[in-house]
Amino acid sequence: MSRKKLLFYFSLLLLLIVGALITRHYYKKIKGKLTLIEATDKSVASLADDYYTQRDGIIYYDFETLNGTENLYEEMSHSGKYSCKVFGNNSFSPIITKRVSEIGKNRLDRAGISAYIYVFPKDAATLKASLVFSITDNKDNNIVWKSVEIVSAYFKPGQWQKVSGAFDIDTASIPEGCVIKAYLWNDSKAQILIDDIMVVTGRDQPFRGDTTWCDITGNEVWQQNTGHPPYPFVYLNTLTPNNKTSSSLSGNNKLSDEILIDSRSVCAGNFYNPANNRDKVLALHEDSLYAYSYCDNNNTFTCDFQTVLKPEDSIWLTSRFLPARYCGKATDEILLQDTASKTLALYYIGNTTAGTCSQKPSLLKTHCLWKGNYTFFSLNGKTPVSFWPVYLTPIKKTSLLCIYDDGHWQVFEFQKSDWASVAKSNKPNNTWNQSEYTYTLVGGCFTSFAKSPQLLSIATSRKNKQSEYHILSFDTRNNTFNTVYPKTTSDNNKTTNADAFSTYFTLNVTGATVNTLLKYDDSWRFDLKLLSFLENTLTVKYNLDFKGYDNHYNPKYYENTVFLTGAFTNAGITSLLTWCYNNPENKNQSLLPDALYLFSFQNPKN
Amino acid sequence: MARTTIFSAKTPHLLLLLAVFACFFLQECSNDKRGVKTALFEVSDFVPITNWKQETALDSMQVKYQVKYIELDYTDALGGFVIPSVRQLNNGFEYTFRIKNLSAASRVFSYKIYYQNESYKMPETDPEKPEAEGPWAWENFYGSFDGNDIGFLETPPIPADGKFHEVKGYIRITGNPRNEAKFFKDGVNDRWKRNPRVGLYSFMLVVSDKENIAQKQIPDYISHIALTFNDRFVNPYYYFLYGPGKKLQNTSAIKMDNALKVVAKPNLGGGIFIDFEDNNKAAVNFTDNCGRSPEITRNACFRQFQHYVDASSKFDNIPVIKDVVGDDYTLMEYNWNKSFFTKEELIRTWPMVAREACKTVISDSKENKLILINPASSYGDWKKQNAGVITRHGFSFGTYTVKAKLTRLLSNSGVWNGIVNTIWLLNQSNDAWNNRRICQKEGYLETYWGGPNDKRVPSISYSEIDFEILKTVPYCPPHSFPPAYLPSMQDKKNMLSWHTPLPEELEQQKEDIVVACTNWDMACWEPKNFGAGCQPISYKDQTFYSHRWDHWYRAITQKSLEKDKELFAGDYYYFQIEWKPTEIIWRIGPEKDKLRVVGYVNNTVTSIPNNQMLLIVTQEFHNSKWWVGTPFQQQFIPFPEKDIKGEIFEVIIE
Repeated sequence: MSRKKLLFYFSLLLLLIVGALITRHYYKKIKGKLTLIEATDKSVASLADDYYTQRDGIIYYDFETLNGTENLYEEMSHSGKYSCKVFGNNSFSPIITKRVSEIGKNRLDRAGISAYIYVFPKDAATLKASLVFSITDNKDNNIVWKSVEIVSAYFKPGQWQKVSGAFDIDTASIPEGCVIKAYLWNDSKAQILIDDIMVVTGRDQPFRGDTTWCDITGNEVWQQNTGHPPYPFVYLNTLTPNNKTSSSLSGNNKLSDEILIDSRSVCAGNFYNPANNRDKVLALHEDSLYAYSYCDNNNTFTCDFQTVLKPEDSIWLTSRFLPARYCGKATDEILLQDTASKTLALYYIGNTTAGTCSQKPSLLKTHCLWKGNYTFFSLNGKTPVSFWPVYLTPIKKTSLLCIYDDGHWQVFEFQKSDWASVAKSNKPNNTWNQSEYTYTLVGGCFTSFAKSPQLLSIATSRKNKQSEYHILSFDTRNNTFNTVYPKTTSDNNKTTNADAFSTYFTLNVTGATVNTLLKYDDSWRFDLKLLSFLENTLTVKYNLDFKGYDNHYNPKYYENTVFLTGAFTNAGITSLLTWCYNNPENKNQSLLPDALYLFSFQNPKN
Repeated sequence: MARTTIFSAKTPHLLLLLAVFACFFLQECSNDKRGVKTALFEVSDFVPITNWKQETALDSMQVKYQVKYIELDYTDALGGFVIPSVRQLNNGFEYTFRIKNLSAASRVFSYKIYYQNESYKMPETDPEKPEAEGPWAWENFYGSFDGNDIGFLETPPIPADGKFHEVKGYIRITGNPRNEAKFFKDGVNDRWKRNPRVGLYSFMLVVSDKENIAQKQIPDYISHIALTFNDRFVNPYYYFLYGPGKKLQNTSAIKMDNALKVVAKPNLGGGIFIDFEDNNKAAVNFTDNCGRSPEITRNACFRQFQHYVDASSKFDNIPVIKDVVGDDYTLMEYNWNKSFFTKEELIRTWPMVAREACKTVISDSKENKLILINPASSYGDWKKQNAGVITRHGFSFGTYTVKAKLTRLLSNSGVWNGIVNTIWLLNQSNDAWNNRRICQKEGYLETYWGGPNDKRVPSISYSEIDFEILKTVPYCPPHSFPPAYLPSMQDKKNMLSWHTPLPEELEQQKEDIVVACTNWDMACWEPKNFGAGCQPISYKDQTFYSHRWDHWYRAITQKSLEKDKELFAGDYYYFQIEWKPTEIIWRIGPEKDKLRVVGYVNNTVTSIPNNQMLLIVTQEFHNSKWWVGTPFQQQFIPFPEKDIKGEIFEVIIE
């Protein structure tokens, strides 16, 4: 090899070594300056809007807790006290990280990133930066790299501006153990501040269900498919005229307002002053019971009585309330069912006089008529799995239907001071067999030819998830249930969109000979439907919605919507007292304040 | 005695000054538009219109002066406008000029009067070679006499008596003045296919020695404008004012600028023509002012517009009927309805066209206005139905000013009702006669709906210039698009899962709607600055950002944010599209003299159409996928509970 060539290769080698050393130096410099911040919910978002901390799939960082690093900038921020400076060529903001496993890979099919950026006027003309969203594997290789480019042609210096972008991502390319990273990379001399960096992941959850039933893009006029959506809407209308929430619904004092609206254990019945034939409300709040009635003068519920529960009455605190006219007297009693201790107690309200519209509540007198446990109601050695207060005869006295796990049943009446069995099954009702079905019962009048009260039983098979219904009436001569419908095995008694998992209640509506049957389901959404027997299928006829509520705060938007039916304002006409509230731990009170409404209903004209 | 002299050291300067002044003065004299002199004759006092008195004020170079003003007569004008019509002036405009014979003997002179639309013309000369004809000067709207292409006329014999003698005659402006074959059909000259342009007209009187005509010193294709030279029309204005005709002996050309202003004011109360069949039931709904009566068929300026709706526009809508604006539909309502329906409950629909004639468009002859109605829905009769009107007489170019009260688009809570208010121009016909100028670079994409692999063709007829006003987001600057929306989940027990707020910047724009200004150039790559992404373009002291998705996207759009209440909650608002040969300007404002520019493009960034278009005003529903990044999706917006009304009070094309 010639001397010249030797010199050339030596120089080249030297150049390579020097280049490598320089690169290594700057790489260390950059890497050393890269601050990684793991985005955990509370630690990094201490000053952030609660909204962002409560939502899954959101990474949010406002640099308020980045103490002690030289990147923190105190003189200017978009929110809070601090922002982060990203000054000069090839500089980086702290990298906000979150493990993919914490977000969920299924959420990463789409991601959006945003931040607030401030560019100082000096060298702003050279601005070239990227707001980066990346996903790296456990070896720090970029699996996904997306960016929002920020250049001087479009960016005005000297003011905070929001930068954002959104990207589709191929989640199939993301292996296990990856990390999401969000940061700003400044590839220019410009001096940049960044604040309030946020990453959102995921798409809107798609609609449930298979396909639409209704297509109006053809030439034919649309005909409703009986029992299938879309259903027309009918409305529950408020009875409260001032369109205010609980402060107008509960009239006598502020303390009462808060109690009624906050009460979660409530029941309705004609507990006192039976002469006005109106239902009153009994509400449990903390360790006290309160009794309310509707005051026509100011269209509010007034607290008539209240009491602090004594220790011997502590069963009130742990029980489900089952009000009914068990004794056959003028007033209703309350059967308390404590499922934890498997005990029951029957109480009545001893107060006899109270005008409505009381200015100040008097002492509530509760008296226990009977107390016992489930074994009292045993049949063939089994205790009931469910208790149902039911009207079985035209006589205004409620019986207690006890159902056992094998489908057998027994009817009790409260006679004088004790429960007496008045009827029991010879053979079990198959649709009440707990191992085969889930069932629910609702009493009322469901056929126009009914001579006595009826019981509607809706059962859903555990095996095939199909639902069916039976209308029963009680044969007092034979002390057994007769099936009003279906009459034969070939009769259609299917249900559509009505199963045993929903709550059913009936309304007495002006001018109606049969009860209006409503179905309420809040398992995944507020869903209130009016049911009807269409060609003998029990199915949905209408959607129910509300009118007259305050400020667009529709009761169906709340995390919890609780109904209490009763004839509160008119004898024999049912209205719905409706509690609307959000879960306190979700801190959404400012979005939807707790509300209490009284709704009425008119049957739609068919 | 000292000699007095008028000459001093300063004299040469003074003389020079005098000479300059004299030249200027003489130049002005020789260019005196009313008169000119040759060796053979002198012409003066050319008045192109003597018998039409109506005038209007014109601002030009900050000088106000009066010009003759005429509104187009729409009576029986479907065959083409005539200016003036026989109802306006039986014989046409009367012109006069005076001529003095400077020769020795009585003489007949040849003369011809040309007219040209000045408002919407291309330059007569080539900017790079001023002596050459402008490459598109032949496209200008010019003509002569009454469209019969009679060549030069002759004066009566003018005695050589040293006196001026008056010559007069009549002239009309007609469509297809060059009798171009492509506008003929079955031997009939469809003059309506090349209607006279609106705006300012000049008239040019050319006088020449008769011998010049006989010996074809003036070429046939100049005497007879219907003839071509090398298959191309030659603009006589160029010929006589800048070209070879300028040097012709014993030939003079006198141009009267701003001699006439032509304005179109279609009669809004004059009825609506129906040209579609709705299962033969259309006649049932016809009224006195809407239908196909002979009077309406001949003279109605508008017809009911029916959109073409593609099957891909279908969407599954929530089964909710609400008055979004009137009942102040909120974001919470929108979010809940977006999250909590099942597929089975949705209604498959699409933006509908009117099913019945005359129900959703009304021409009010008493108040002289047009009314558009998007009809209300009811259970079982859900509809998001478009409503609109379209003009029946096409124009090339023009300044289209619409005074209208169209529907509000936002509830007070900032939720969109799904309507797009549009004021737009659409090509009058898809036939070849209405083809645009050839796209020199690779051609246009052939179809409106084809993708990037669509065939490219030299010329097409499709053209569209839009105002589309709706709730969406600007595409520019690119670093803020699209917004990062929070996805919604269906968790009833946590309302924040479904009630997702809008991004902060959109929350601040709660009262804003977007005015989108679009030119459909069918991705012709010819403009020198044709590009994709966000591209700035300046107009006066404003900068606009034009957006094009990619190099195969057929349109360029500029968006600006405006207040919904300002544009649509008042008694009316103005919307203007100024469509010129090399630029398009979009303006809006509370009054006609208080318009502001909201969009601007020119031929450096987009191909400006030059074919004939119609004006359309609609209130229509769009599938949201046409507007990427929109905060409210059409399928989650309720069907309208009440009729949605819009009114058009005035349309002026000038």
